[in-house]
Amino acid sequence: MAAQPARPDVRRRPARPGAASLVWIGAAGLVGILAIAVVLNIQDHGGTVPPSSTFAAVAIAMGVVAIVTVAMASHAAGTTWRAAIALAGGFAAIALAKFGMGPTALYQGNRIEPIQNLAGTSSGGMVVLIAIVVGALYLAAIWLLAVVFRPAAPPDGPSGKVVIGLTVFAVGGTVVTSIFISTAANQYLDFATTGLEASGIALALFVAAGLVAVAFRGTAVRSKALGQASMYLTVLWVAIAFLLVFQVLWIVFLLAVVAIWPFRSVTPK
Amino acid sequence: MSARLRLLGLMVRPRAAITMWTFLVIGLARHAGPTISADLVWATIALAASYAVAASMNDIADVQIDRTNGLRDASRPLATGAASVADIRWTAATAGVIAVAAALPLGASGLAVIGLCLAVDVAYSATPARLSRRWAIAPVALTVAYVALPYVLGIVVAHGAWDAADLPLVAGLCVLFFARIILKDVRDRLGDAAHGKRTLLLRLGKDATCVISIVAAAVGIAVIVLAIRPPAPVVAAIALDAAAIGWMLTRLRVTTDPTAELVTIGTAARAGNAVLITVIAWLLLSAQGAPPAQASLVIATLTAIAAIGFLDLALRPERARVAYKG
Repeated sequence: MAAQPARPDVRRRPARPGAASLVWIGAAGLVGILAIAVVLNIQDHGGTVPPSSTFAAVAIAMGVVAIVTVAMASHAAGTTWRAAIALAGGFAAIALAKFGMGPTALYQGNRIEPIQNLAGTSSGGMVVLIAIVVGALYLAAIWLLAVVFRPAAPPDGPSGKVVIGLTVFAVGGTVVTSIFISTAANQYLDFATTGLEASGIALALFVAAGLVAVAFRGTAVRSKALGQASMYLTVLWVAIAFLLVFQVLWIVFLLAVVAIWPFRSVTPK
Repeated sequence: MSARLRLLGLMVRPRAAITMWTFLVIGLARHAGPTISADLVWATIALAASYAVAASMNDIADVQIDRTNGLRDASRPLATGAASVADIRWTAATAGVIAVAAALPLGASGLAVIGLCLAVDVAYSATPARLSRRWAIAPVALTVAYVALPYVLGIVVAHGAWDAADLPLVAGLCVLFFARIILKDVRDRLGDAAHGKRTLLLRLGKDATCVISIVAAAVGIAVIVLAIRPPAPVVAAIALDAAAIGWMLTRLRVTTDPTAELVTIGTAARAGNAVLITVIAWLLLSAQGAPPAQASLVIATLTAIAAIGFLDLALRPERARVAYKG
């Protein structure tokens, strides 16, 4: 059957994230930072280790932010409400895992083996290892979003080999860490991969994957716009987390973003 | 009126203004660490406005060259005919007033620095000095206007005073920037040659210009490292950036395709930006008393991010888009 000609009388939605989507994603960042700041202001009364309720409150706040902003950004990018809400639910589940369960597991690990001595002998390089593994997982996730969720072989995307390589690196890093590191890093991984936290994280990620799959099935095409919006949001969350830890470097992050964005533009003069 | 205000915004050219601002931030970070103040906002406005003066004056002076070089994008309203000479003169005058007004809260020293910036901006493009036509002086004037004066403005914002440790840092930054700025004429060489504008590139040739750039980049980065004395991992990160710059400049020597040349220069500039970001990060973190290991981890992360962007361009230059500092 021949393809139907485009209907000139029907207003077509943009095929890429427009200004409205980016505004929603930006709003997600701002509201998320404010929510975390409010929670910390209420909950952290000078204790050296935040209580678990802090993580729970942050996770709930970020989950709500994710539901609203991802749904609005996705819809603004041209998806149906059903797909937008499903995607939002997926990101809300990821927010619960990222801001609630993950940090809780980290501090559970910290109770047994201190992490303050960064990369020192007593810490077993816990933070560095965690950073490398989590960073590799993020890279793999971002590249997957950039490549797999696009409608066709992208002219500017990495090859499948790169994606496979990153995934293998991430999985390999996790396995190697588990096998050869017997100190705090291993304990963190124990908490993150076994017990209640692991069940919670696994459940959250399973729900997230299911809802994201529903979202993409609902859009009929694996929308490039949706993939890009998801990628931007993932990068934004990494940036928020980084800024929370290193607030004094806001100028550095600003300059770094300006320096690398747009990725493939160069200024010869 | 709104059209002229839009024109004023257009002449700020954010990417170039941010380059100048980077050096202001380095001066600020060196003297005050991580600081946000009203003075920083005023200094930023003054610097951006002074750059608008420079861009306006230069567009008027080089309009024929820009047209010969085919620079007819939106960032060149005079070359495209979207604005008249009178419009651009209004822009320059208004931006000059804004620069001075924004410098007032910074006190006499801030006014003096912005005054010097404006003086260099005018002398660079306008007669009788017209430094842009003097091949040996032009890059030095640009280096002073882009690096040294913004750095000093950063010290003013920090309410600090110039000390002995500033000299090697500014010298290193200036030499590194010199390595970059002498390559800016590669894009415009046809128009420059057609209109008799003598540049270092036309005077000495591409090969010699590339060699000078390579040597200047290496010397500049070495001096910067000696000036800030970071821990070994940070030195390694900077050395990686230096190697990237050297790689691209070596490639530039043998590249003949005009577009490939521009991509190579832009890619080298990205590695140069990574050096500056590393310097700022180290100055801020050390001012906060961060342990070297922690600072090194942050800088390693930043370097890794910069390396991804750099390698993507260096290994697949055919996919790069050439943009301008609009």
